[in-house]
Amino acid sequence: MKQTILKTLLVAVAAMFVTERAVAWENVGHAVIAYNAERLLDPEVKAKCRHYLKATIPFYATWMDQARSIEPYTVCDKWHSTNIDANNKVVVGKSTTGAYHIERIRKEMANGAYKNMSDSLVKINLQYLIHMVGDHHCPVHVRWSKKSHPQYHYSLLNKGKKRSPHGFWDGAIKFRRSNWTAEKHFENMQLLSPKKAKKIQKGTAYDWTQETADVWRKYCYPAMPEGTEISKMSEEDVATVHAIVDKQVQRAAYRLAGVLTEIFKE
Amino acid sequence: MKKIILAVLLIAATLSAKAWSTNHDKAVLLVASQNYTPATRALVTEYVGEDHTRPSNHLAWHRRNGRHLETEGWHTLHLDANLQPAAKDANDAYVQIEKALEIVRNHEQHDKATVSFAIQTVMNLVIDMHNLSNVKIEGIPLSGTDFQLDISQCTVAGRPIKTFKYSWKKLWTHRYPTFHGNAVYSPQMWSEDIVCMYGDKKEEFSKGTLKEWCTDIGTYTKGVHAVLEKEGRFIHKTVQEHEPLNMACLARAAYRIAVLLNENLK
Repeated sequence: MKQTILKTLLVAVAAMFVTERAVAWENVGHAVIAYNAERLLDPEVKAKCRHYLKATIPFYATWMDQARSIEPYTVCDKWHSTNIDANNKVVVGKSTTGAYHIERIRKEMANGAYKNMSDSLVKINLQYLIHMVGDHHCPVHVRWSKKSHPQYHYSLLNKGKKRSPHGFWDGAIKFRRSNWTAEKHFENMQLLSPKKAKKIQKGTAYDWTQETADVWRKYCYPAMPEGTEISKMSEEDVATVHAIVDKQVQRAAYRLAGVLTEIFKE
Repeated sequence: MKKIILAVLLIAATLSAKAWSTNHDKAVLLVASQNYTPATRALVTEYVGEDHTRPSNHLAWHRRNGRHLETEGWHTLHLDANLQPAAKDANDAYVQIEKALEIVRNHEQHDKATVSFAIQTVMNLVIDMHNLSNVKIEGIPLSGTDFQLDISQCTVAGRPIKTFKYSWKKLWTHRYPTFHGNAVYSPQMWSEDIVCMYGDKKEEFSKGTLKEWCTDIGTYTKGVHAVLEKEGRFIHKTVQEHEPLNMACLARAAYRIAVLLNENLK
């Protein structure tokens, strides 16, 4: 009897903590990318972003995920990723992909054109960019057709239970370092010289998505093939995952900062 | 066995007594600290220590260590139907803040430990009274109580996601931090958002008396319960729409703690 009561109490307390953690899984990466990007901005651009957002950049990092089920934003439900064709090339010009809308918004706001927009339109466009630039650097936010790439539709294992690669990579930034704050992630990010930063910021969202697709093919998939048991990964395997994720976070942060700078820098 | 059960109950009591998440609470105290006069800041440091955010869970911390168990009921703000403070006994935030302020005003006549406890009580309970789930209004049966909530009507990629139950208390303490990545979003980050969003309302929020602030916060609580009554449940969209109100409550708490300590700790 005593044992049963004790077990029930312990399970109940454990559940209090587990529930909180489980739902936070996918928001960390976006918050970190947006935070890092904001830290990279010069004060003038940062002030303009905050002026239009009426908040910090990280505050809106996950907004698109929360809003995708709410009218009138259901339209952006499919903007979180971009398709890859049978030849491993990014699909260009399709309006149901995120890369298309990143480029559309960049074009519409470029060369001071944002000044002709209402403040609310500038704000919503920024909210889209903050999230989508992050999304398109996540290795599982490229869409592989099941027909052309059946090998990428598989399962990992976690303590013997099936786990999707999407779920794993979405939260990989937090994997075995769940207590890190955004500040700590920023300290962990390798800072680039202005010359290298400019180089990494070049290109379009299509180029960046192509690069992300290549990262998936060349690094993520080989590092975590079908049946990989997550709970038994060695320190070396974990380091490989962190190296992939940290590089993508760095690219996303620099590119988001670059996009915001190209819009607002006088 | 008895000890284990007691420990479990103490942990549960601590969780249930929290106002917002730890990082939200600390952010409030960070913003408050930024608005202390130099004299107040010096006295807060003298009585509380260098870390002005430490008292965020002051009363719960004492209870967790088996002290001041009488403070369990202090976190709720009781209002009558006209939204005036209406405590029937000492188990009330308004009553205890007034008592603590009396000690703060006459801090030179009390020993350091008493003043320290009083200052931290003011901080802790002003935060608590601004959390809508801690406000109990006469005639609104569900106010001030914790009840299950149906957060539904949420779809992702066009498919409805699992409807889940959430507690009213947890909605106001943990749901919004969860949107932003929980622990990764530090108190410093929240404090910057509070200032970005409501820094221009500082004067407006700081006006009035403690009693008037009780009515002010009661008005918002009543409004939220009216929405709940009308819709019969809180849906995902409604939760989203209420985040600015939650942020405004954090800002009110921050600026008002600063006012109370600036006026009384001299």
